[in-house]
Parts: sequence; structure tokens; C-alpha cells
Amino acid sequence: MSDQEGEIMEIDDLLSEILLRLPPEPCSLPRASLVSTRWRRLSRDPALLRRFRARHRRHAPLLGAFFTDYSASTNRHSHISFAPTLDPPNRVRFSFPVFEYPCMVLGCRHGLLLASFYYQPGLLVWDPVTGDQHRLDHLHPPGGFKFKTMNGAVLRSTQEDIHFKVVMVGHDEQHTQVIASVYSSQTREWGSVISAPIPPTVSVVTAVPSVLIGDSLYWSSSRNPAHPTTVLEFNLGTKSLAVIDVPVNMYAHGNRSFSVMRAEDGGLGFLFLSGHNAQLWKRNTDGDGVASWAITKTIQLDKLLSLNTNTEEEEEDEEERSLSIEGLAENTNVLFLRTSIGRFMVHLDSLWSLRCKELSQAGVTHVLHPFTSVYTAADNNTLSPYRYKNLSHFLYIIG
Amino acid sequence: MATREAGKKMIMLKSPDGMEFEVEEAVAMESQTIRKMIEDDCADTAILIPNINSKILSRVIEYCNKHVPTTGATGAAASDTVAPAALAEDLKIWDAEFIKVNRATRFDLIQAASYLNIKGLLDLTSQTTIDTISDNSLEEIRSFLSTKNDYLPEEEQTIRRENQWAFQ
Repeated sequence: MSDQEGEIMEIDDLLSEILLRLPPEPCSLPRASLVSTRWRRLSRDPALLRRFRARHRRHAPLLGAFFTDYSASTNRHSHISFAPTLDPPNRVRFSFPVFEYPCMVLGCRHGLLLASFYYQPGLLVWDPVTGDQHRLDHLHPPGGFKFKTMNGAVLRSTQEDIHFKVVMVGHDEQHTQVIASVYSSQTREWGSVISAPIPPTVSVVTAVPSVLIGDSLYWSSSRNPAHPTTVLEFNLGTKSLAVIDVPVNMYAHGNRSFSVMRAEDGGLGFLFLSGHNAQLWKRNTDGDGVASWAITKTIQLDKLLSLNTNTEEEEEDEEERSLSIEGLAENTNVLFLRTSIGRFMVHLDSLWSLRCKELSQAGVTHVLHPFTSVYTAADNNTLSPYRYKNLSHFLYIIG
Repeated sequence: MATREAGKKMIMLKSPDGMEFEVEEAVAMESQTIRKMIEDDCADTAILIPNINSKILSRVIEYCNKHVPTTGATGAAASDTVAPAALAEDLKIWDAEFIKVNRATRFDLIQAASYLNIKGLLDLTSQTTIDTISDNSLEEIRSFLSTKNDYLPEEEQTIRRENQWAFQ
């Protein structure tokens, strides 16, 4: 019987069909490639890799999260750190670039990381898998506009696109208007500047990651508990800015207690920690275009995560304070949560939860930028293996 | 192509060992390969399926019969009374029974599913092999699939070193 199996597996197309169906975890193809030289040839075949990426793109594993590590030495380190969330053998690590100045992570999306530098202007777009770096100048808006604070986001038009876009938003020193512009890696230029008036209670917050929902990027945009919480929206299609009111004054509950998220129907949603519960809100727009918010789900985090919820008031206060949102994977709605007993990942749709061992040792609260996909670059030029020197073990996955 | 006025259109499939199977066109078209033949009007009165013997072909037809979408005259009753989730659950149970075959048959089915391009059957038949590759050591994979390790020792060491993390 085993002779016949050997014979059948000698048909390349059949073995390719099997390899294609291996799980999307990073170690799948590298392990298979060691079975024999023929397996290696087939597992590195560009046509197979393209199909493998296409098949797994929607379910690409969450590899971990990047964050700005302020405890790192400013002399040698970029300040960028990565906390892997998968267990060995899928626990990947990256080699970090070294710069003369430290940088701060602004966001991750579609396999890219966007950072800004301290002490010098300019932005960095870094591909952690290939090690490719792109430096771009800050946007210099016309009319003497001076940024007081700015934030940014990186994305590709489609995950297959080798080009990327950077969106930069910020408000002026007078606090009267917010502006945005889109940089294209294809033209290597910033596009036209879009501006919108803002009430003085709205401000762009640097340390808040963007969330991409449909064709719009969203940032929580107020940080003062005395002001109502708002969300800044930038529509990539219409190139327009808008300020959206949020149902509760969430900053009154601490500034790590909420996040924009994708609602179940794919629209704008909001996540809000209230006591031991997570409330999921959804924005509805009626036929006349009037928007309203509604709670769609309440998750009892203390029960889900077996948190020690003592009924004594003092203890409860302590518990509430120690619950904070550190990050959210926008495409999978996996929440990174800090609790009194450690860090957890909670999948908001299915409610599975997992303790993050790697992150649990970190004392301070981080702003985490989940890094999900390695199945992005698809251009034939980028499939040549030598480009992936930064992460040799991805040779087989990317090419 | 003939008209569908008579209701279900039938197609004749022939295995190389001379057996003929009359099946509904909708069932045969679960195979993307056969679908293309029919759509391109290449299908004559009978379609010869090379390399797939009658024993395996009959199993493939059995699978397609079960998995053809239940939207036609015969399926209407079923989908009216049974919830989609229950149908899916029923299919899952049926699949689990269907794949209780010996390894040689399973590999023949993988080959047939690949040639006939039947995605669901290929997913189903290759799952055990995928699990084997995912869950076992290299030696066990080689032994299970009768694959010979033809790496030179130093070559294997180099690849292991490059990908040390994947073998922890």
C-alpha cells in the first residue's frame, strides 16, 4: 500500500495541491520543504506561493504586535519592538532597523509599519518581512499651516498591490482646522491637502492607531475628559474629513477604555469598557441620513477571563483601573486587553480568549499595533528569495 | 447542446475499464473539468474519464450526487423543510463516513478530485495527508508518504539552520 502512496505522491500537481492546503502558519511550508529536494522545489514554486497567499489571505495568522518601546536605549535602538503571539514553531521575530534617531510606531497595515522619528522630520514605512525601508518627507501644507499634532496610517489599495499609501492627519496650532493628505509610493508625492474646520474640543491624538473600515480610516480624536469623545473620519474615496460624535463620553472612563472597531455588519462600531464589561456599539444611519448609536453586544470580561472580581468597592475600583485596551486587530476584531492578572487576546466575534505570555511580562501599558498578514507582496519581482534577507524563514512563504 | 425541456439532462461518463455511468448533468458539473467540457460543447454523448477506474469513479459520482446544490425539482422539498445549518451538519457527517477508506483508495480519490477539479472532494480527501504533514516529524512524514530524503547531510543542515525557528 505504501508503495502506491509513494507513487501517487510523485505526481507534482498532486503534491502541490496538498502543500497548498497546509495551514497558513509561518512554519508550514519551511517544514515541508525539508522532506526532500522535490518538496522544497514545489514548496518554493512562485505559482504555488501565489495560490497559497490567495487561499490564506483572509485567514492570515496574527503573528503578534508591534509597539513603541520607550524603555529601549535611545542610542542604538529604533524603539520599535515586537511581541510574538504564536507559540513555537511559529513564533517569529524580526530584525529591526537601526537609525540615528528613535522612532515611534504610528500604525501597521497590509504587512507594513508606519513610524515617525523623534527629533527629526520625516516618516518611515518599513516592511518587517522583507526589511525594505522607505523614508518620506513630512507633508508641508501650503499657507503656512503648522502642525500641532499629527497622526498617520499606512495601507495598500489592495493587498496584492506592491505600492502603498500613507495618510497623514493633523490639526493646526490655533486648533481651528484639521487637515489630511495622501502620499502615494507610486508617484512619490503627497496629494492635495484636504482641510475641515474642527470645534476646539477635537484634537488629533498621536498615539491612537487608525482603524480601516470599508473605505474610511478612523481615529479617536479627543483626549480631554471634559470634552465629548469624537472620532475623526477620513474617507479615502471621496477624500473628505468628518468629525463623528460618539454616544458616551468615554474619556471620562480613562483613555485606554475604548476603540473604534468594525461592527458585525461591516460598518462603524465602537468598543467601550464599562466596569468589567465590554460594550460593543454600532452606528446606524436611517433613510434620512440621520445617525444614531446602539449597543449590539455586552461581553462580561470578568467571566470570560476568570478575573478576580471582588465585590468590595475598593477592590473593584482597582480592577476597573487595571482593565485597558492595548490594541485591536481591525480585520479580525481581536482585542488586546490588559487586566490585573495579565494580558489577553479576546476575539470579539467568537469570544475565544488567549493569554499573551510574551506581553505579560511588560509592566507598562502599551499601544499595540497587531501585525497580521505576511501574504501581501505579490509582484513577481518581489518573489525573488534574496530580497527576504531580513527574515530568512519567510523565504518559503513569500518567495 | 440538447434542450432542458425534458427536465433533468443526463450525461454519460465512461471509465477506461469500460464501465458507463449515467448521471444528471448538474451532478457531473460539480467537476469543473467536466463543466468546462460541457460549456465548451466538447461533451458528446459520453465523456471518457481517463485514469480513473470504475471503482473510484463511482465513489466520485456518489460524492457529487450528495453535494450537488439542492435547488432543482428534487432538492426543493429538502431545502424547504431542513434548515441550511442542519443540511451542512448532515453533509459533514456524510463526508466523515465517505472518507472512511483505506489509504490507497484515498490517494486514488485525491488524484481523481484533482483531475476532475472538484474542490470540496479535494479538500476532504487531502485532509488526512495535510494533518500528517502538519503534526508529525519529518521522518514520520517521509515514512507515511514513502518519500525518500535525498538531501545531502550538509545541505539539510544549512536549511535547518536557516529555518531553525520552524523546527523548535
